[in-house]
Amino acid sequence: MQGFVPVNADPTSEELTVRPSAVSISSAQRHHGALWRWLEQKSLVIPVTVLLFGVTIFPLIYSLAVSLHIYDLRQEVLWKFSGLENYRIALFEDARFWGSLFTTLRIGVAAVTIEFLLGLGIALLLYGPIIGRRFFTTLLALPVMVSPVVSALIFRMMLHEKYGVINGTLNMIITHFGLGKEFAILADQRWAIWAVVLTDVWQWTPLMIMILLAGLQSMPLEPLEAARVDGAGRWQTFWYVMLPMLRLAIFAALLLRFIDVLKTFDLPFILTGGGPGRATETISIYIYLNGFRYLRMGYATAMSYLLLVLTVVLSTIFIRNVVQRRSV
Amino acid sequence: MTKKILVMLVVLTLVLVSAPMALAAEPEEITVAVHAVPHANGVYMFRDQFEKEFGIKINVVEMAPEAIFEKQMTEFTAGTGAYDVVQFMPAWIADYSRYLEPLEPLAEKNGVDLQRDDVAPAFRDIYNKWGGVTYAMTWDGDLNIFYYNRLAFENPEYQEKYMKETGKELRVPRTWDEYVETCKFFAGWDWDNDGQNEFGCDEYLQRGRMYWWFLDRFASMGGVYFDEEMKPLINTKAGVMALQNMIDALPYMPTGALNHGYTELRLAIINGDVAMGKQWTDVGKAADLAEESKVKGLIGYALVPGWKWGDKIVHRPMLAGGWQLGIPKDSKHKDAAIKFIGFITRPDISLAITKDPSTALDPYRISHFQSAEFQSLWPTAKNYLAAIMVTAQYGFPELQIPGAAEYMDTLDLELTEALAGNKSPQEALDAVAEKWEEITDRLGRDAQKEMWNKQYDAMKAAGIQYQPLP
Repeated sequence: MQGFVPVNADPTSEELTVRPSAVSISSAQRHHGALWRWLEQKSLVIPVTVLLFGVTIFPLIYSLAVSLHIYDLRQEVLWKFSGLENYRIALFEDARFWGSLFTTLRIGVAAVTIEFLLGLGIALLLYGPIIGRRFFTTLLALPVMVSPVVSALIFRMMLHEKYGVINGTLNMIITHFGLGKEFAILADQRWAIWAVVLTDVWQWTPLMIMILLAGLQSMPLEPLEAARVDGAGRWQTFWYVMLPMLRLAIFAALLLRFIDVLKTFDLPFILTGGGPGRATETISIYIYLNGFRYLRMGYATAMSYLLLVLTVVLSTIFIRNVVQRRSV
Repeated sequence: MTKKILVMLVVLTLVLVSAPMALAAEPEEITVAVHAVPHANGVYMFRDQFEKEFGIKINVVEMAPEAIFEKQMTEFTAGTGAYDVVQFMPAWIADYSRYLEPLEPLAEKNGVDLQRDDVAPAFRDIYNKWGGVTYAMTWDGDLNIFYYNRLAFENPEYQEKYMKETGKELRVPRTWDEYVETCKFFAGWDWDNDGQNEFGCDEYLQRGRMYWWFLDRFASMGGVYFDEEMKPLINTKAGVMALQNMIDALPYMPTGALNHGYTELRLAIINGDVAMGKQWTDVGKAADLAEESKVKGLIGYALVPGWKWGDKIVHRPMLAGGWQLGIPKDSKHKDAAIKFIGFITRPDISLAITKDPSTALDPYRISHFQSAEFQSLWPTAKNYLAAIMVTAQYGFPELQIPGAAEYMDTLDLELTEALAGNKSPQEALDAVAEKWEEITDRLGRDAQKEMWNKQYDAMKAAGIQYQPLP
């Protein structure tokens, strides 16, 4: 109690004898009030923070921890620390990891290139004066709305060597005109990968079209008119005026699709199961097999992190390149 | 204030007292995790009857077959007790056994008669057990039988033609060499006069489960997975010859056979595109009962070809799959779960389920094979059931030790590499053996050896043992 009494005050005064408790209540109230205000302020942020932590940050930390362990669901002891061993095996010992990564890149580069060229062409067509633009735009957007599993099943049927509308018809023509031996796209190592590319192109070209069309429609008209006034031809206007102005939309479309295609799983899994042999085994299929068939969660997670690093590196190079070019 | 606290206490007490009473009034409910429709149809068909008879509700959780293992294992390791009955494959029993409840003591405690003597021995003695303990009850008699088109094999004109070309009598192939010969004979001409050329045979060669089409060749040639010391026997002479036999048959199969899975193979058989093929037993029902079938009354059934050892032909048809039911240790309704298993596998109930093509569940009880009702389902159903019964006697089991999925996936991958012409049979199978050694070391050689010998002992008891080819 003594400590609360001011040094120069009269200790016998009645007023002062009650003051310590009065001071103490007021301080607690102040603290309580501050805490309440802090809670009030943070209460709006706390739910989102907790959600963010639970949904994004915790799984990241957890999976990183798993990747540093021999986490095998078949073993009695799940958490056996192994440091960077899983990463070392994937990078230096596992040829199948590199093989499936290479296959993914092949599919990715081929699919995104075709999608971009087709997407740009169709977007330019839709940008020009065309009757029923809205109808065609909606129609072209339909494949994006189909689930990849369904698209893969549709193409699997269309590519059946006898009953499929694509492969079956080609074989019918080959047989009818005696052009050679029948063939099966999905069963041929050289062609199976193109079946995956074809399905991906069918499904995702509309996304390219939509992004590029949006880019075209948001372009200011003045530079185009100025180019025309200056006597630029169609090709020159496109190459020197439109394309540079579309750069950001192109960049966004390519980046989105490339990141997406690096993770491709459902299309090749349903179409070919990763075969024939390893012809269409993508990195995601290989990660899935390790994680969920072989139950090697630690190893599968380590490979996922390596894929993440690759995606980040490629994206960074891409972004820097575009940003630098823009600033030049 | 005191009054408020008193009121709250009274309310709380009332809630606590009334909750168990309310819960007690609810009927018990079990969660059954099964292979999605068509298999789940088997449960739906009798869900109401079970509830009526036992007063227990059934909550069905349907799972895509590819996801069953991962989903169930994740729940087991987390100990959630999410499922009371699980449908799983015999190949997983070693991984599952530590999470499953032994069935027989539980059945005895609850007065449930599983009537296991009536289950085909291969399922009962090899697939349902692990280390001598029964952890599962079969509910789908999955196995592969051999189908042939009678238009091809029973035409006297073709029999004469075959005799002229090969100097041999045309018959449904009994050995793998005969299989390649007849497959070659029927490839590339219109033997059913439908205006289109047909193929000799078809197989499931798409990556994933195509190793089942290799293993019955390999096993009939004397092969087993490992020796007692856990040394892989897959790259022995039996393995190489079995794979070579597959490669030899490939040119006479449909053009896209390398990507043919269950659906394409089924289609090839019931559309009459091929003269013969080995497939699951549900295709036999579809051939005669399904609306889309073009071969109604035309399909014959036989034992999958074998290998000639002296005067005797050894058949080792694959017991491919064989879904079964088990009860997780962490289930909170084990008594109700065993009652469900007893009910759904009861001879009369399971007969109705396996007879119905919409379930894709196949007969597995001896009483199913002998049922007059089943035998008269279509004109040749009796022969169909006889083929299944004989197959179940000679069946070759899947690898059941921990990591079976990884061992088999490696085999699957290398087989497809050889079929695609990227590797010779010996190279492909040497790569499998090398990878199998690596998996064994990673999972613990001693533990794996112990597990394998458990399975091998059961196989030996059924007369299956490594026999090197001369």
